[in-house]
Amino acid sequence: MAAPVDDLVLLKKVDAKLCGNLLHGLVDGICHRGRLSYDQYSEKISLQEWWSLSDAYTNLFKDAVKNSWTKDMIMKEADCLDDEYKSTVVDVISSRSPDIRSQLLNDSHAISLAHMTDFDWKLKLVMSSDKISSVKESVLAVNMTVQSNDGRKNVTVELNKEQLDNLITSLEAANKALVQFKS
Amino acid sequence: MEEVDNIILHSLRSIGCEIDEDVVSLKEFNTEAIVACSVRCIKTIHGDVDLPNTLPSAMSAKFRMGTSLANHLQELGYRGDVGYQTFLYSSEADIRKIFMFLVDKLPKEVVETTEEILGSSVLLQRNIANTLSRQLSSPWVPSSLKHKGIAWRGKPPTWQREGTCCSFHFHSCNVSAPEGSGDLSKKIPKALKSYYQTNLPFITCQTQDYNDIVPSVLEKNAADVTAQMEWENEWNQSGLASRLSQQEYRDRKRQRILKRITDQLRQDRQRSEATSGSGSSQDLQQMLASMGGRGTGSAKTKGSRFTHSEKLLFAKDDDKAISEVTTVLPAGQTEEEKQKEREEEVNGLKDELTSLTSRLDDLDLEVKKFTASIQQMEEQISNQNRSNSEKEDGYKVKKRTLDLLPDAENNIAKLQSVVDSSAQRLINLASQWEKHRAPLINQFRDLKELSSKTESEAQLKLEEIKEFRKKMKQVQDDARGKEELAKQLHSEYERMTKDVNRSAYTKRIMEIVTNIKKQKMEIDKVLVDTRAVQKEINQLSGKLDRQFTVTDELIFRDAKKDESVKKAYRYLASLHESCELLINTVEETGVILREIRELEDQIESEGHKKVLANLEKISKDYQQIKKENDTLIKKIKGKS
Repeated sequence: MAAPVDDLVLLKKVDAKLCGNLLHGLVDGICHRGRLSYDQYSEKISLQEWWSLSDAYTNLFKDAVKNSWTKDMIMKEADCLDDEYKSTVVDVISSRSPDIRSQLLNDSHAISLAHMTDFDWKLKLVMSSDKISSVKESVLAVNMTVQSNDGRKNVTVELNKEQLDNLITSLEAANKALVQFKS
Repeated sequence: MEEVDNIILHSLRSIGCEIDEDVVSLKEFNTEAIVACSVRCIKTIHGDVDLPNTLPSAMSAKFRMGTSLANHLQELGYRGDVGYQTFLYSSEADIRKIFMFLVDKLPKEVVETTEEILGSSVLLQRNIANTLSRQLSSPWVPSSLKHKGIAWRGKPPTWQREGTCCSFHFHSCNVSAPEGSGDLSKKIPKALKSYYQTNLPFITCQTQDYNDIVPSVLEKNAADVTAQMEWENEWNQSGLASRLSQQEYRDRKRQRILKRITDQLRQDRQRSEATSGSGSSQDLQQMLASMGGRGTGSAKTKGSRFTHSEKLLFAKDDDKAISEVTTVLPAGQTEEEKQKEREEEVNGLKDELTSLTSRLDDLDLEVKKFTASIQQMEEQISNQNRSNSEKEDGYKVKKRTLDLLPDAENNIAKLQSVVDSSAQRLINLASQWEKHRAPLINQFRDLKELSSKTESEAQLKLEEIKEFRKKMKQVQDDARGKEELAKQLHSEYERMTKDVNRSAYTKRIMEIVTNIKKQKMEIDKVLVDTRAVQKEINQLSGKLDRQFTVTDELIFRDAKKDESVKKAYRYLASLHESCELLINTVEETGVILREIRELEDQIESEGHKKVLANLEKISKDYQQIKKENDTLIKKIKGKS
C-alpha cells in the first residue's frame, strides 16, 4: 500500500528545516504521544491537504517499519521529493524505527477481548467503624482501567491482606506461565 | 575536679536549671543556686515533690526547706552526712558529693526514647489519632484559603495538609530520553543524534499533563530496573550455561519464540479451517448468522485463536437467538395454544438437536475410523512398494544369469577371473586402507582427547565465572548493607554529638587510668624503699646490740682487775642509755612531725569550708531569727 505521490509531494510546501519537526511529530502521533497540531502549519497548508499529508506519511512510516525497508527502498518510495526532503525522511525513519516498531507490536498484541491498560492503588488504614471502635485493618484499593471492544471501563476493588495475597499468587502463576513460554 | 564539675553543670543545664554561661565550677554556686538546682533534680527524679523552686526569704522557712531537702536526699538513698546546714552553709566538697549523687540518680532519657522506637506501630497509631483529633477540633476553612490544601495551624502551629483536593492519580505515559550517551566509545548514529539534538522534546514537555511528569519518570525508571534485573537473573541461570555471547543468546531466544508463535498460529489456523471446512457445521453457522443477524466472520479474521473463542461465544448466543426468533413467529393465538405450541416446538427442536448431535458424534467416529483406515492403507501401499522394488532387483539378477547361460564354460572362467581380480583389488584396497587408517585413528584420538580437555576446561571456567558472579553479587549486597549501616551509624552519631563531648571524656578517663597506674607504680617503689630502709635499720640495730653485748662482756671481765676499766664500763653503760634515749627522742619527733602535718591538712580542709564566711552568715541569720522572733512576739502581744 504505497502512499499516493500527490500527498507525499505536499511536504514541499513546508520549509525544509521545519519538515523534520513535522515528521517527528507525526511519528509521535503514531506512538500515542500527542498528535501534532495543525495550527502551526495552517498558513502554508489547507486543512484538506494537511489531512492527506499526515495520512500519507503515517502510512509510509508504518509500511517502512513493518516491512523493514532499506534506505534505498525508502528513497524510491519518496522519489517525488527533493534530495533534502528525502534525506530528512530517511533520517526520521532510521532514528525512530525502534519506537514505531515497538508501538506497532504493542498495538497488535493489544487485540483481545479485554486487557488492562492502567492501574492505580491506594493503601488505606481503617481506624474504626460505626460498630467497632478500633479496627486497625489495612486495605488496598486497586483501580484498574480495562480496555475492551466496547470501550474503556474502570474496575475498582478493595482488598484486605488475605485477598491481596490471593490476587498476587494468581498473578504470579500467570507470570510463571509466561516465563515458561519464553524459555 | 574540673571534669566532674563540667559533667554536673552540663547535666544540670540539660534538665532545665538556670545557670549562667560563665559559671565553670561548683565553687561559684551561691546558696540560692544550690537550692534551686537540687530542688530541680529531686523534682525530675520523683516528679511529685511539693517543694518551692526558690529559696524563701523568711529565715525559718529557709531552715525548714533545708531540712526537707535533706530528708528527700536521705529518702533517695544518700549515705553521706546531710542536714539543713549542707545547703544553707555549703562547703564545696559536700555540694559536689550531693550533686554527683543526684546526677547519678537522674532518669536516663536514652532508655525512654529507645523504648518508644520499639513500638513503631503504636507510634504511628498515636500519630494518626493525634492528627485526627487535631483536625476534628480545628474549625473548617474554605479551600480557597489553603493553597493546595496546605494550612498553617494547630498548637503549636505547623504546616499541614488537609483534604484530598490536591492529590491526583498516579498516571504515567511513555517518555523517552537519549540513550547511549553515557558510553562515549560507542558512536551514536548521526540521524539519531540529530533527532536527540533538535527534535526530541524535553521530558517535561513529553507528558500531556504537568502532573504526569514525576509518575512517568518513576515508572520508566522502575521498568528499566526490573528489565535489567530480569535479564541478569536469566543470564545467570541459563544464559551462562549456553556459552553464547549475550547478543547471540538474545537472537536465539527471539528466533525460538517466533518459531513457537508461528507454529501455534499455523496449528490454530489449520484447525479452524478444518472446522469451517466440514460442510454441515458451515451450513449451521450460516443459518445461525442469518438468523441472529450478526456477521461472525466480519470482525476479526486475524488471530485464529480469537476467532475460535469468538465462535464459541457466539454459538451459545445463537441458541438463544433461535429460540427468540421462533417465539416471535406465531401470532394471533391464545396464550395457552401459544404456550403449547412453543413447548412442542421446543421439544421438537430439542429432539432435533439431540439427533443432530448424535449424528455429529457418529460422523466424528466415522471420520476417525476413516483416517485410521487411510493410515493403514498408506502403510500397506508402502509395504507393497518395497516388496515391488525387491522383486524387481531379483528379476534383474536372474535375467543376467539367464543371458550368460548359453556359453557357460567361458563365462564361468571369465567370471572367475573377474572375481579373482576384484578379490585382489579388495585385498589391495584393504592394505591401503590399513595404511591410511592407522594415522587417521591416531589423529582422531588425539583430537578427541584435546576436545575433551578443552571441554572440561571450559566447564571449569564456566563454574568459575558463575562463582565470580555469585561473589560479585554477594559483595555488592555486602557493600550495600554496609553503606546502609554506615549511614545509620552516621545519623546516630550526628544525633549523639549534641550530647556531652564523649570522646573527650573517654580520653580523660584513659588519662586518669594511666595516671593512677603510674602513681601506683611509684607507691610500690616507695613501699619497697621503706621496706629496705626498715630492714637496714633492723640490721643495724641488731649489729649494735651484738656489738654492745660483746663489748659489755669484754669490759666486764676486765673490770674486776682494773679500776680504770671499771670506770670505762660505767661510761659505756651511760653512753648506751643516753643513745637509746636519743633514738627514742628522734622517733618521737617523727611522730610529732607527722601529727603536725595531719593537723595542717585538717586546717587547710577546714579553711576550704568557708568557715569564717559561714560563721558570719550564721550569726547574721541568728540576728535575723531574733528579729523575726521579736516581731512575732510583738504581734502576739499586740493581739492579746
